Amino acid sequence: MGLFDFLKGKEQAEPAGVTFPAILGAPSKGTYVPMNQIPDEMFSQGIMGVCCGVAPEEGKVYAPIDAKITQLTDTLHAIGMEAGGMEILIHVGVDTVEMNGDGFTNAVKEGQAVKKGDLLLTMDLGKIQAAGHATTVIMAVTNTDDFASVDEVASGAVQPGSDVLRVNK
Amino acid sequence: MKQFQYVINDPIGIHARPAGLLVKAAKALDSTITVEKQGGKSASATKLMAVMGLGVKGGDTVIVSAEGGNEDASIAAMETFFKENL
Repeated sequence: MGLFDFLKGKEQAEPAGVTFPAILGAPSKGTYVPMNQIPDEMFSQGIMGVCCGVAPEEGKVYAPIDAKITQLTDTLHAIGMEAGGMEILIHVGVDTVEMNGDGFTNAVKEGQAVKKGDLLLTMDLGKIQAAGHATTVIMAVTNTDDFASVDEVASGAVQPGSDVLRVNK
Repeated sequence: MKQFQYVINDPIGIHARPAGLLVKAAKALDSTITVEKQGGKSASATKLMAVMGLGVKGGDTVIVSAEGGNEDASIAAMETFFKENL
């Protein structure tokens, strides 16, 4: 197969390609939290873009889609990534910025390409609770305005990678 | 174009929450608002990930500018926003 054949067959041959509508998978194992029930109005009111949450059963966060890591924070609790023009923020817990990284470990580096299901970060759920914060793993499409729609498609128990958000171009 | 400089008081800087508030405030204005970290990158104030990506910390100086529309009103609104939130 020549180079140009490869380009023509990109949708099938290129694993990092994103086709729309795109599906974002749950970032953690636990119970789905609809956007309007996230215990932080910045997210529940959609100020950060359409989002959803998972009340996590274990302290692990996985990539929701094949993506490129665009942003880590000094406080380790939030990771930004890009996939097919979608800017996706995963934010672990509410007001966890105040923990200054204690209890959080990043498993990826800025600029790294990740596959859906790759481990992104681990967190100590006990430490987050002890600090008085909700542990909700929140995932937002921060540039929701660039898309025709971002819809929630989940409820109840979710596994890492379960369909949770559908993005239409 | 109108602009002002501001030294960030919030010790954590422009993290997710103030970045979200800034984007909301900037979208409400009819000028194009740009935030530049002195000696660093600049970002459209309506792009959340770009604003967070500036990596602005407490003590950093930012230059905020307003271009187009009612620049006087926009820059005044931004000055108030930064004083109240950052």
